[in-house]
Amino acid sequence: MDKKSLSKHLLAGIFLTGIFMLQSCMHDETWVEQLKPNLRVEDILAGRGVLVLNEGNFMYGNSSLSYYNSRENEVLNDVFYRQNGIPLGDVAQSASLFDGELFIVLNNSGKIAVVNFGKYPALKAFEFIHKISGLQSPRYISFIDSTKAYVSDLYARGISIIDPATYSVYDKISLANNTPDFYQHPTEQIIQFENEVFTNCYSFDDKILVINSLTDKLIDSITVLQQPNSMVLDRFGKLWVICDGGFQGSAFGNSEAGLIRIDAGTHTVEKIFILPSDSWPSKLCINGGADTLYFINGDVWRMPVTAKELPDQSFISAGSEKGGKLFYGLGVDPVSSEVYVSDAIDHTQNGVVYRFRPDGSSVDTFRVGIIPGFFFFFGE
Amino acid sequence: MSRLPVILLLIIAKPVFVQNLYSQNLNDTLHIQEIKIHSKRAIQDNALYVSRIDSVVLNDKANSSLSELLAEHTGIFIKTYGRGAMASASFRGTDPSHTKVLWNGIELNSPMLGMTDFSIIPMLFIDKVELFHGSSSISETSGALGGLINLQTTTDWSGNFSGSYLQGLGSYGTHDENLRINAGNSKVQSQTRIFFSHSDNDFSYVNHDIYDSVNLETGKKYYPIMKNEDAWFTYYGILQELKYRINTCDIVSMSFWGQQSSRSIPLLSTNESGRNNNVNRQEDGSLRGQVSFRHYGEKFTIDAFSGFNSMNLDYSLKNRLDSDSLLQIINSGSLSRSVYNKIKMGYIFSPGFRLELSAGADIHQVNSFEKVKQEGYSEERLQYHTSASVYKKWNRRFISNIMVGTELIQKADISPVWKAGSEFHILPEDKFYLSLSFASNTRFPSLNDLYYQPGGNILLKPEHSMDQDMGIHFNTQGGRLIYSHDISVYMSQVKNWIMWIYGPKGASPENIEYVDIKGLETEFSLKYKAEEFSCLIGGGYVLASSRDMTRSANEFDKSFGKQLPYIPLHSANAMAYTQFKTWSLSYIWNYYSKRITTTSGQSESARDVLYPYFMNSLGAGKQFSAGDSKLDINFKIHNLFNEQYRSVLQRQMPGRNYSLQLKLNF
Repeated sequence: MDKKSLSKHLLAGIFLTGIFMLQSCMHDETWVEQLKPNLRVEDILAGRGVLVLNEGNFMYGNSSLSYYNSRENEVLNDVFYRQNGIPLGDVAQSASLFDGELFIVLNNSGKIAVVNFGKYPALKAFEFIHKISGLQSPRYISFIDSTKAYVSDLYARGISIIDPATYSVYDKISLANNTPDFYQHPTEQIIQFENEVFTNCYSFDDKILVINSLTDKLIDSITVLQQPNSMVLDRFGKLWVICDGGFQGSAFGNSEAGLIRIDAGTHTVEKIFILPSDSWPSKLCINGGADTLYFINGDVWRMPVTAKELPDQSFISAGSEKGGKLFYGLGVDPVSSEVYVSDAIDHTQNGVVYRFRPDGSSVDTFRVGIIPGFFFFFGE
Repeated sequence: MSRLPVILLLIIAKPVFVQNLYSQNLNDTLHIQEIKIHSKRAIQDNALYVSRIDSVVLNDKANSSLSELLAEHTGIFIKTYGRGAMASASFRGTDPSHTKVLWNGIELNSPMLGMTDFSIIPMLFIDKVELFHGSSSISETSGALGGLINLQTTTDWSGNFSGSYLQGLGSYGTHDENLRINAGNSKVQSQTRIFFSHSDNDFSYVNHDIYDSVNLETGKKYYPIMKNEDAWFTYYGILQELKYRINTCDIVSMSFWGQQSSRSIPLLSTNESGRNNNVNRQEDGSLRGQVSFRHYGEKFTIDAFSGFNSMNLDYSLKNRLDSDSLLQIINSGSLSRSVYNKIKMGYIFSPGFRLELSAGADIHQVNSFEKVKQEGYSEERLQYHTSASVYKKWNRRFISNIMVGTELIQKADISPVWKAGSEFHILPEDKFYLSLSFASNTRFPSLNDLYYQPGGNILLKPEHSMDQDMGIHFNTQGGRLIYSHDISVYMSQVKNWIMWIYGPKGASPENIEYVDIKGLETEFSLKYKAEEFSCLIGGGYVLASSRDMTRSANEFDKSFGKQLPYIPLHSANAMAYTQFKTWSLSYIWNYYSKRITTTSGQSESARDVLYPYFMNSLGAGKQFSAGDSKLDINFKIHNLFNEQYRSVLQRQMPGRNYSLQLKLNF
């Protein structure tokens, strides 16, 4: 090839490369899926819908909502993103329905997303309405009455008081520990019993705090085993708390893991069921009749609230230890008492939900989003 | 943006111009040097795939970080958490901990984390960048399963007194000050380099991840226009080098590097906790030093080296609650200290027969503690390594080598490392040749992998790779043109790959069965030089398939055979630098294909995928001369087409932005 010819080929090559390089890449908008599900509240209620909150990975902002029609056994993933065109946020922790609005607590986004669930007829279900922002690390929201909701928080050292009408924080119940060797108190679930509200302090803590919901004041503290991660109230006014005991090597120390029964009226610890060593229990739930407890400890376990001892056989097995299921979330349908348990697999791919009848037989298995951790049941 | 530094520079520049200072040999930013081609490679480069970044490019990136250079000019994928934020590298589809970085022989990888933060390595402290692809890294160090980035400073023994002052000014309150002073003679040389870099980094963007408000009657929603708040960064540091040439064969050198970086880490774009909450700060400090002795005899060479690297990393997360003061939620601090010792000897028995022996002992010590939860560990590790290499040129076409080595670690087994390679030269003088190599490499877990609280796993095994490389290399020179082209196909099977996996009690590292890596790399470079015109055109493409081949007993686990998260299958780059008289023009382009963020490779939702992106930047410059002094002025447009892109989910990247670079050589 002579020099002149080589130069021509070079120029042509440069020109073609230039055209390729100059093309622009795509913008966010073009990637937003516009396949809106446009779900209607009536249909969700008729379908006895189950909402699965998928936490997503911490600091990835990839949490999501999966909607499951339990009558038709149909699942629709990513309903928030599809309906609204924005991501839900980082770590979808819990949800609560109030006055035609669903409040979705987004732990590491410092906010609560409020979506329509019938309040605005012109809007579809799960359509974004509002947000409550400026929170530190919210975990759960509980509506005390029509003008007041409590929001627990991992880092706020207190409970935020919200006005649901204005979506604003108007006060705070301080729960700071005065001898703070550790960052206490981180508040978790909220359960109301008469005019008292109980909240468990999970991370590096061992307390159940009691707040008077009329005065918004802390009135008592109950010491339990280490790291009470979840609790429920039974039909007899007993508060059940499950504690994982912390982990070995923790500066806070570690205790045995256990299930604890507290009389909600007197704040007295009545019974402690110690779980076997190497247990890591979580996700204590109760059925609609409030007489049967469920929790995860490797497998799913079930126990009547009247039991004198822990069950010796699990209700649903997770399979072999190596490569078996990694049960993460648990929910019990308050109407049918069907059990929904999620498997987060490796925590970095879409998880799976297994649905079981009250007798333990399988009904359905369906794919949801990443780290399915919380179930919300719609309809009667 | 402060304009004071520019004004000061221009004031001091004028008197400097009119003085006749001693000549110097510093390269000007965009002006292409006299082209030289090295037709004969050293025998110890046999069957190695080493790419070197052109000095023209290094000059152009003089006030950048190493992460920017690698992202724009190599096939290494840089995962960055934002402008100025932490940046890690994936070389040939491997994990960040599989890319080793050496600077004048000191390992920059953190013994605690195993990886390197490329965003805080200033280009001012680097004169030479070599990439040892894949198993080629074994010739320098073990454990670099993806490859080695070898950084070096160089010395001009002909200079007496010279220096440069570079000032960069850019969008978002960005300014850089770089000073370099060389002094000495043919026996002793001192180099001092000082830099300061700061950016408010407060670019505006439309946040498409949240809504500002909603019209409840129409359902219309509005995105907020936001600033990238609390994303500032400040870096400063000093490098002092002293070299003494005892005679024509022996050199003693010492260097000291001190640096401090402060960064504020912005919140995710979905976070609406407010500026008083989740306030993230990161401080990185480092002190490094080395002493070396080199003997270059006719037959015998020796390279003895001792170095230390002390790095501290402090991270805090704070909330402003009821009081005015910020309350610590996370307050972690770590100090890693390493000492490296190595001796390497070479002996040439005949022009085609060379033997190399090396031995080394390193010690790493890590103290890591989180004060709020009062968790941490303090551990140390001794590591010994030895190797022997033989290089033999059988005839004018065929060269081969074999290297065997061992890695011995305290409390662990001996791990063998070996490599065998050959070159077959179709045309003489490296014009056209084929290379083939096989190797086995070992990487030990980082100290965090073993001891981190909670989750560390002291039962972890070392990672082992089996590597195969095949290359075609083409170099030619005709008239004013020089053209080179390399194509490499590689395969690697990494057993006991370490991955942090979630269990009931949280994340913990595990050895996964194996990861299968296959790929292709190709890069070319074309240089043309005429009397008043010169140009450099180059580019590369990488296909990096990196797949988890571990079969799970869980039938719903879809990770088998899927590309590892955050590793692009395709990446490419291209550049063009031209100079006409005293004017210069540059164009840089790079591309990454889509990156999945899950182990199952799912991409049904856009939230699981990072879009592919093409990034373009354009630069133009002019050189002014007065006597021996030169002033280069360069203006650059970054992200020319104002692309909206991400490197990590929900981490904002800036749109089109500008910088002005003034460099005075004296």
